Amino acid sequence: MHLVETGGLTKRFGVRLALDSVDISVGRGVTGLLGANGAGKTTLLRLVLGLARPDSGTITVLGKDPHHDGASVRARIGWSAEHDTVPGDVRAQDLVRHLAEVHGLPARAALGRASDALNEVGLAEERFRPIGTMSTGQRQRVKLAMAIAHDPALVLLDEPTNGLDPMQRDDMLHLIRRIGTEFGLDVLVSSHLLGEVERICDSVIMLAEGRVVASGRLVDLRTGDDSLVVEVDGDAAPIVAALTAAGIVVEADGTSAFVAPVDDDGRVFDEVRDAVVAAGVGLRRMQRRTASLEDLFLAGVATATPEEAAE
Amino acid sequence: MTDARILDRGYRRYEGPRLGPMSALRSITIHTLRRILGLRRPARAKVLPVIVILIAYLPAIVIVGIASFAKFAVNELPSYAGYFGTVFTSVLLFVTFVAPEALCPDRRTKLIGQYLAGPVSRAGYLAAKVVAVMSVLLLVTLGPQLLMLVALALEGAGPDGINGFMSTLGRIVASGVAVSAMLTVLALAVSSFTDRKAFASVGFIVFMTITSIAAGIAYEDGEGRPWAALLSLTALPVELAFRIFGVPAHCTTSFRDSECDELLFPDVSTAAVVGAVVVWTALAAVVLWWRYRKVEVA
Repeated sequence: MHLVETGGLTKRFGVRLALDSVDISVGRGVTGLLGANGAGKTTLLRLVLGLARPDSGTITVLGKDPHHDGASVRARIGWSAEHDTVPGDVRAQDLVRHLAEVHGLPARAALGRASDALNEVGLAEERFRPIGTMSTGQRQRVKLAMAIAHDPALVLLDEPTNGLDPMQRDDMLHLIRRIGTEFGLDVLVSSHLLGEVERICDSVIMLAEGRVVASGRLVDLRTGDDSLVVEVDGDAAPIVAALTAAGIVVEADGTSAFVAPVDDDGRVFDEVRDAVVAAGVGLRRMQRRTASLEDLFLAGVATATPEEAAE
Repeated sequence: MTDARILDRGYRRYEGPRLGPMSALRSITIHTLRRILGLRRPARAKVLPVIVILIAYLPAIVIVGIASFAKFAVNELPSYAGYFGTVFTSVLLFVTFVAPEALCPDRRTKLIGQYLAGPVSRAGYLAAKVVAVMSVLLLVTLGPQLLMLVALALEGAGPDGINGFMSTLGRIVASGVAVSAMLTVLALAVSSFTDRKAFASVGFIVFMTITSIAAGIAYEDGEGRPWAALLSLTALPVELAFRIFGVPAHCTTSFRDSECDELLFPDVSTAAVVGAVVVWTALAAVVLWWRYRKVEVA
């Protein structure tokens, strides 16, 4: 069963089309919801939570219609908003426990799970501190603990690394990955940062102008063409020249990396080996080329909005 | 036998019972009560509620003291109805502080979005807030009079017989609940226009003052406009308490005597007073709902 499934989902705000016939399915693991600001990510999350009514199409969340069974769907979802949603003068443990109770846990269970959740996000020592005295990174962790304390069936995270410095961002991404793997919770994380999603997600859904431009498992989406990426320690120019002379089409990329189409008989591998040896440089990397999320996103946007891509 | 223990159990799934939406509302009510009373918060958050509660109870404690040690003065003590007039300023001060504390921080910190993204409806959220504020307000509208009733009954200075006791108890509860409900919804409605507590408190005081001044001017100037008094939101709750405690029938006619001195609007019928309280409360509830019907979550 898919956690979230939509069919022809459309949502308008006046004349603006926020979501245009969106067909997606969110499965197990960590799924990234990618798109620029205004692409429709937050609208989609609001529809998943049953807080907005679609103009047309269908949406099923945890096997239910979130608009009609909103309370029961939302009780099983852990939500972490993009902006700060934590009062500064309340202790972290009190707030996390309160939110767990709001999501249906009895008081005693909520207290125990609040402690556990804060422990899991690395705030065991700080749990009795007022949230206002915590750093931005710690407050984001409190929000994460609020989202997981009631053991949700689906965790929704809206731009969870907003406002974090590079080190805090790294920790947060690691934590989200742990939630999806070690904790066994399914996560839908929205972000406009492709690199982040690439690091932590099993699957992605890319939105542009309210339309889905790509969706699926990351390993499937990133399967590239038959090209080979070769990266060397040193100047790649002699190698490029040698391969070109051997009749291989080479596309140089910077000073030390290039790609060459791989043929069936493996002659390219031999030619690359010989050219590297002849150039006297070290071979740092040689692998089949995989498409980056950025490549996929740009290709998707170009397909979805050809007029804008042409500009 | 070994001392080995596993301290880090890792993340565990929850297999226990999950309670329904009512439990969520109960949790919001309790959380709001704690917030209002400053519980589990810094000491400075407890100062104002404690002072106001003391002020509200002080007259009751003095009255009980007089009844105990100066029985000759019992007849000079204020009536139960008159007690509202005595402590109404502190009741008003209390709700001025309590309602913004209950409502504004949730919007300012966007915690309300966290609630609405859970199994809580907007109506349920507002109901929980009303219950919380009203419960705290009952501490100062109901509590002191109950204390007076029980203490005076024990001193032998209370109402006559079990019927008298139960009748007075019923009137204390009815007036306390009605006045608390009206002030709660009015104060929450005013607070719903801002996410800053200070603005909400000042706004409520200004609103109460302006309506009362306007009512006073219209009442004094207007021959044949006794209903104008019903616009006074500071006098109306006190008048309602008088009416609930029973006003001699002749007081609402032109044959008034000293028994009617406590009445603020002697030429307005009790039905009109009750109707005005209901209308004001309903109007404030509509405003409150209208302000919250489209609060953004994400």
